[in-house]
This record gives sequence, structure tokens and C-alpha cells, in this order.
Amino acid sequence: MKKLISVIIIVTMVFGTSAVAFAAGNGQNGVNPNKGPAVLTAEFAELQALRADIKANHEVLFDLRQEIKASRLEIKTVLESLRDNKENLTEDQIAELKLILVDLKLIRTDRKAIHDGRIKEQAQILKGARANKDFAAAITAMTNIIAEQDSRKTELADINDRLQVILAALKAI
Amino acid sequence: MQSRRYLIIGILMLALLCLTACGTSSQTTGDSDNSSERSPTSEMTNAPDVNSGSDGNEAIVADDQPIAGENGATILAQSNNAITDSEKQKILNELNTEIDSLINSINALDDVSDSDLTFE
Repeated sequence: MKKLISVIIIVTMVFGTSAVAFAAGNGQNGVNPNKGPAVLTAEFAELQALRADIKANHEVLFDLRQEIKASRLEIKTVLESLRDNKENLTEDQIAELKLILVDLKLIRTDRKAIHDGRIKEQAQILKGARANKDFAAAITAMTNIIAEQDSRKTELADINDRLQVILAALKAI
Repeated sequence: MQSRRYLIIGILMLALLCLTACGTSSQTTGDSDNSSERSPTSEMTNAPDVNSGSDGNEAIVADDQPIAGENGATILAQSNNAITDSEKQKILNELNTEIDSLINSINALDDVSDSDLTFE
């Protein structure tokens, strides 16, 4: 009886270890040796296209940041002017400024919704994929980067719109 | 003889009463003068009454009414100063700091370099 139990345990262990090793072997190497040159060429072409999209998005994001910086400069100029004439500010105007401050804080809170670190995370995955010549993993990482960039484009454009509203409100004071 | 003594006592009492009354009256006049000195604006408002030919007593009564009005104006001036310049400065500084923090947090967003995208 004891021998039977021992045999069952040994057989289970051997099969279990083999299954794990098989699974690990499949997942470890991203390069599919069965992929033909045509498939690899197509994947490479897709990578180049994705890379171009990322670069284009990068330019758009850069421009949006520049617009936001310009809005900030304008806001700071108006604030400077208000500071120079602060003795003429009425209670109502101060109340208006306090509301603007609340809006600004809200924008900063919403900014936190932009997933900081996600692009770096995908860049790391991309680095590993490049080392393994794993085109499929690289395509996934690049697609994720583009998705994050698209999300940021929307968020930054929204922030700039809200800053323009704040600028108009400040100018009206 | 006795009635003359009563008469003298009565006259003395009347004189005493008059003196006391005059003293009180002059004190009141002195107070109102002081109050008009504290408020230069009330003097200005008082001046037309004097020029209009009213006597001293009327001027004192007229003095009290504009002071109440001017007090209202003083309260308004205080309400304008309810928010001090330093408080205004503080709010403006907060706005400046907040906009800077927002821009810094946007600038600090992570990015991918072109070299990371090179795949050859």
C-alpha cells in the first residue's frame, strides 16, 4: 500500500514538473521559430508604422505642453497685474479669485488621472522585446504606448481649455 | 423778620439751583464740543448750520444727527478693509503656486525616447 502511494506521488511530481517546464519554455522565448520571413517582415513593418505614430503623438503632446505653458505665462501676467493693484480688489473680486483657486486645484487633482509611469513601463517591456527579437511583444508594447499617448492628448487639451477659461475669468476681474 | 429770613433762604436755594443747572448745561456743551473735535467730518457738516444763522443750541442738536450719518460711512470704510492687503497677497500667491505646481506635474510626466523605439 505504501509503495503504491509512493509511486503515485512520484508520478504526479514528474508530470507536474514537466508541465511547468513546458509552459515556461513556451512563454520564455517570444520568438516563434515557426514564423516565416514574410510574417517577420510584416511584423517589422508594423513596428515601424507604430514607431512613426508614437513620434507623431510625441510631437502633438509637446505642442500641447507648449500651449499649456503659454497659458500659464498669460495667467501669471494677469496675476502680477492684480498683485500690483491689490488695494483696489473688492470682496467680490477676492471671492472670484478664491473660486479660481478651487478650479486650479481641481485641475491638478484631475491631472493625477493621467497615468504617470505607464509609458516608462511599456518602454521597459519594449526593451526586453528588442533584446529577445520578440516583434509581437514589441507591437503590443508600442500599441499600449500609443493608447496612453492618445489618452494624454485628450487630458492635456482639456487642461488647456480649462486654463483658458480661468484666464478669461482673471482678465474679467 | 422771620419772613425775611425765609425769603433769603429761598433766594439762596434758587441761586444754588441756578448754579447747579448752569454747571450741568456747560458740561453737556463741553462734551458735544469734544465729540465734534474727534470727527472732522462732523465739523464740516456742522458748518452750514452755523452759517445759516441758527443759535448755539440748535447747532449742538444738528451736530448729533450728521455724526450718526458719518458713523455709517465709517462702517462702510471698515467693511472695505475687511480683507487686508496681506490676505489678498496670500490668495494671489496661492494662485501663483498652484499654477506652477500644475505645470511642474505636467512636465514631470514620463515619456519614451526615440532610441527606445528603435527596433532593427
